[in-house]
Amino acid sequence: MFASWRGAALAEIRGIKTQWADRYGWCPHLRRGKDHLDLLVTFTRRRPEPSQAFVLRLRYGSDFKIAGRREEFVDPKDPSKGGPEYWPKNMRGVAMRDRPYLCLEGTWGFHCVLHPERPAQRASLNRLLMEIEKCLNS
Amino acid sequence: MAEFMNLTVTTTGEDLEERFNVQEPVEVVFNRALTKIGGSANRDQFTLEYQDQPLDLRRRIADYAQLFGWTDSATLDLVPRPEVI
Repeated sequence: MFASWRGAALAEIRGIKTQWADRYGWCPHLRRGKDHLDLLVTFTRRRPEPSQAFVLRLRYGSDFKIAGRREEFVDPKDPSKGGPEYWPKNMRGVAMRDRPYLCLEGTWGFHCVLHPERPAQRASLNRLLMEIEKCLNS
Repeated sequence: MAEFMNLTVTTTGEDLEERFNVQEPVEVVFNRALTKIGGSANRDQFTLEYQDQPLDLRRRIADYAQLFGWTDSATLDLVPRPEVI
């Protein structure tokens, strides 16, 4: 049990499997905001060659356990800039509404836009990251 | 080949580290890893992999040990199948 949402968020971020982060080159990186925490994860699409890198920003707010982590692919050079142009093309697991969302448990798009009937409490960060990895590279 | 082998399975939760009889089917490892993360009721949502290669649960551990050159230990992954609704 954590005293604050930040504690819970940091605990799950620190629990990212190093074996997977090392193998896939996720390079998880944390940026702290006034009322949020941003986890930046690099995903590499290996085929077709040449490989392409994409940076996913998962934004944690005080409601992340209920609403999910706000997903956005961002400019690798400036993670404050996000938008459809930074999303991988033709990636499985992406649903387009007013903007692209990840249709994967644990994201804000899944729990607040696409499937609000599905609770976020059981979502796992490691599961989400591995599902994104597989969606991008399968 | 040795009769037993140490297998580690990296999962989305707690990892599994156990000794297995190499004549057992890979499914035994899969089931133990699923139990570790409480996923036994959702076996269709996971795959057991070795270096991104899905394993056939019907084959024996010894078969893969020979194929991949495992000696006394190996690390596998219990990987979620993306559930895209």
